[in-house]
Amino acid sequence: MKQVRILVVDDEPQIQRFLRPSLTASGYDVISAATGADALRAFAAHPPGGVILDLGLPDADGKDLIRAMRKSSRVPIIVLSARDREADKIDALDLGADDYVNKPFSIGELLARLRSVLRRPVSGLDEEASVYGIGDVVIDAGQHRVTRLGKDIRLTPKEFELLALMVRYPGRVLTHRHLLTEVWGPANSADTQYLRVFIGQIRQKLEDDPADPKLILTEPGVGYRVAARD
Amino acid sequence: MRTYRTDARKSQSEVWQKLPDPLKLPSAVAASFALTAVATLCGMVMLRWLPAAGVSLIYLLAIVLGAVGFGVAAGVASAVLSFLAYNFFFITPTYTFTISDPRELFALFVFFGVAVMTGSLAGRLREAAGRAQSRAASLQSLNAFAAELSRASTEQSVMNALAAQASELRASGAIVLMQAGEELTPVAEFPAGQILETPDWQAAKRCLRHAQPAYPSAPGWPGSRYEFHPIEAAKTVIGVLALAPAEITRRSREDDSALHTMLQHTAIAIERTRLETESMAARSEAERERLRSALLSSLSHDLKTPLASILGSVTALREVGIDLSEHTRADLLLAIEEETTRLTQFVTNLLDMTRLETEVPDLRRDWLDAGDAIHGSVGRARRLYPHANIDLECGLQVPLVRGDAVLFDHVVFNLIDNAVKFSHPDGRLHVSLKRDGAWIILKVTDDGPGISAGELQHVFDKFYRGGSRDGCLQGTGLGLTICKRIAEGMGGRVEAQSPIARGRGTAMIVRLPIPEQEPVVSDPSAAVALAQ
Repeated sequence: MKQVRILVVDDEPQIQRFLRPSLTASGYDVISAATGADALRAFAAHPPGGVILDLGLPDADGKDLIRAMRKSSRVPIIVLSARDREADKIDALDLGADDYVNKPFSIGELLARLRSVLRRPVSGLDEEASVYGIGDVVIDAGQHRVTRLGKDIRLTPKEFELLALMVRYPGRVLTHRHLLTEVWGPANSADTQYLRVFIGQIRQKLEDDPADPKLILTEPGVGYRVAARD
Repeated sequence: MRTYRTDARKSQSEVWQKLPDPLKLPSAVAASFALTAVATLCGMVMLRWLPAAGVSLIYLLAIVLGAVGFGVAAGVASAVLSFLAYNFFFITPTYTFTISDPRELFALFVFFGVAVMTGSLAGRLREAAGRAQSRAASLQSLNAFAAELSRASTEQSVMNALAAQASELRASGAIVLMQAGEELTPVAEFPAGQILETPDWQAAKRCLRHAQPAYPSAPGWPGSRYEFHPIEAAKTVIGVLALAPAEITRRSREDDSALHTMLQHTAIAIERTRLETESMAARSEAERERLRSALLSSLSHDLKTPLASILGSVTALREVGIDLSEHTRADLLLAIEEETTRLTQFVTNLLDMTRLETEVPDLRRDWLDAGDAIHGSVGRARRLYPHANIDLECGLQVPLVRGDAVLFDHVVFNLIDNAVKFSHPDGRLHVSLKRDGAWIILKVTDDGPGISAGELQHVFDKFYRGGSRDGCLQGTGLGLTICKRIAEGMGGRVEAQSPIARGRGTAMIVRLPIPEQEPVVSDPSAAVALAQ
């Protein structure tokens, strides 16, 4: 099998120092860049299959890099961010980054996220007819049907729309703004209470223990994530 | 007419106003005419029973009344009028000013002398009584003012008191202007909404410059309408008191000396509040210094211990790793991971504290499902402390509150972290989230040794650490302070209870208010779903 090429953009040598061998050992082909300019050159010269991007670079704003890469490519991007920079993280996700990992992180966490974003279809557009299974729940987006342990589950149109949107990106975090804009429209993009209420209703119907959800996970302050299919 | 004050002090001015003001000459004469006319009518009627000489006593009564009621001028005017009327109406031949009997002439002049003396004496007495009353009233109100000043803790409240008091004294508007650089700025006024014109400002600056009162120009002349008095503190003029033209002219020497005393009281009060502010600044500087040194000692301990452990483990692995057993190598690697996690938590808390440092932030922008958030935090704590038994009790019916999800997560995690550190490593922790009336209550209970009553009140203080025991995990002394700040930012409160049962255990309680306005979810599909 051909090795997936990963572009690692981080200006700190200590981070590069353990990322490169860890990723290589996990079967990826690693190219590194320490600045925004280097990153864009490498991105054009050797189009990678995935990008790991530190938001704090010396010569460029990581968000501008995401914007530049998204112009020509749907390549999965994982953002590395400090814990207290919530707003930056959310902006990066809304600009098209696929997921984030808080610094400091364990390599296991990063590899799991990377697997998740690499697994999903890169085009992200041909899922209308697809069927998704997570645990006991099967979601048939084409048929507008949801079953749990073979039994039909009745969802309201909005609940279904929200769930169908999320299962299209298993394992990937979706921001509040993204979900609200897609399901309720741009006018409601800040009404996070809609999500609190509707996610709560969906969990009531689908989760074994709605108070301890296993299917739809909360990312505090950022958004929601549907558990990855493993 | 405007009403200036409606407090207790009003009763004193009412006493003062029981006696009318001494009248100006024309009205005094008018009052005397009226009194004399009444006395004459009474005399006519009484003549049936009294000799003509007795009627003079009725006139004397009128004179005394006039003098007491309306002052010296009225008293003397009544005396003269009474003399004439008595002569005209009652001394034969009546209805003329001529006197036939020389004895009556003598009696008449004696009457005149007595009348004038009585009138002027009674009038003076009245005025002296009036002055005494007004002095007593202004003394009383000065005392009240002094008491108010002694309670004033800020310069602003001193200025407010001065404006109100001066306004009452003059029964007109008063403004306090303070020097700010080269300019004067109004800092207090009573009543509100007064406007100073250019000539007023010029007079105010003159007063400030020369440290002398500036009086208003006569009505109709150009110049300021306000009267200005310098406010001095520590021998320099720091501001100006402006007094609006009074609607009732009642300026007296007493008023001026009351004003002088007021300004002196004000100067003392300002110096006092300034000294207080300075000493407070010195205290908070000392407090900052104390925190800095606490932070340093905290940093050196909490950073060095895990760093020492990490460096030791790593160098051991590098230098003698080959000779170590597989088990020991794994253990050293685990130690590195654990210590790094602790360091991370410590640095996170320091960063949080720096962000929450300056003031209590308002975190009530977003809707927060605390029941949802608490699972993540408890999960994180379970991974970090695999030996601790953490129960979670959380119903689904916990309403949404307003708050920040990330910071709420820090609250829950810090409370658990704290409970683990101050109970035994494999202790039982109980985390619960419930609704209680208008609040949701987050409660983290441990079965550790508890906290003594003396320590309990300090647990939320910055860098305060509970009595440390050997072998016990050390905290940063920041976790609970952060919890408190965050909870307060969400409009909530924190509380520590100990002991809980049989002299052991601690409960940390966070209350967050449930907003009166429930979140708006105006989605018809939800309504349809409910109807089905």
